[in-house]
Amino acid sequence: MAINEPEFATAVAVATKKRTFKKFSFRGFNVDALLKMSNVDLAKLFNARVRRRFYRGLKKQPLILIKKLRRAKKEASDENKMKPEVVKTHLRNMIIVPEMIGSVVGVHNGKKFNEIVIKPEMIGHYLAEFSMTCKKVNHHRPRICGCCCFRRSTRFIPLR
Amino acid sequence: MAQMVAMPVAHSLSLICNWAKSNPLSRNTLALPASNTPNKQSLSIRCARVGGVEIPANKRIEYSLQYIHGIGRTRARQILVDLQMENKITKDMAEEELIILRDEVSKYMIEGDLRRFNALAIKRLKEIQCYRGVRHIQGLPCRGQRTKNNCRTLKGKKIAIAGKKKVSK
Repeated sequence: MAINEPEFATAVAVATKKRTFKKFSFRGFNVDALLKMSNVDLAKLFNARVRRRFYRGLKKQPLILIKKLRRAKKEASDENKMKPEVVKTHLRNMIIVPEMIGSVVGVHNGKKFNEIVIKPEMIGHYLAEFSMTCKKVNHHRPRICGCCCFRRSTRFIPLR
Repeated sequence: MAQMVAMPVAHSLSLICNWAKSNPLSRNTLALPASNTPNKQSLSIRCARVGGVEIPANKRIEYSLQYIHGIGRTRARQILVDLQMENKITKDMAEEELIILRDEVSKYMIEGDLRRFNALAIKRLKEIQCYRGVRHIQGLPCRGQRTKNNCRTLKGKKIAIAGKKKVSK
């Protein structure tokens, strides 16, 4: 028996619908909608601390950083690069806004700049959350003295 | 007097004779005395399931609902107020009331859905490698608590504590 055309088309449509990839949405809005929002509308989606920061006005430094990021993105698109250039910053308390998605930010942790690729899931977080300031502590057993001091090695008793 | 004494003996003897004959009719007849004993009421087990969870039947409904993961005191009271339902003991509720209650409870995110939602949130934090996600991965507290002397729920018992005596078995 020949394949029934409408049923086959329906099955293909259903399969295609099932395989639709999961799109990112932040509190019900996708990235395009977020980009079009004004700062006031955007602030309403965040938690209280972030809202307070937006309501009390943004300072000059964050705006300079955003301009740098815009320029880096534009240059990357002009030169057909995969990634924009790293933009270094000390502004650890900068809140990630949708406009920064796709940029590469070097966030200072007190010693060096850690490179962070901004992803949509990071909206609303501070830059500092992605740049650790301390090293993870690991403890281990005391070792036998490695140097060639004879007196100490004679008296040192290994615990193992 | 002698006749009265003899009667039960004869009766029992006749029963024994009937059993020896292995007559099915007499066997059925023999079973009759057993059925004459008073019939006890059988136990009826009745438990309520709301939201996919078995809730205690001996408590009032406001407190039984709190055994569901995702429903606490405030939400339980809100449910009763929304349904205009009296706070009765759970086993005294009728089936229709239970059905209405189940429909109301299913509007909230409870049990498996709630656990899944929370797991997804933590997974997102781990994926973007932010500070809180890293703390989740390492099994350490995420809300700024001190870790030198506390947080045993997360750290567990494997890590030794100086000066602490081992409990003898």
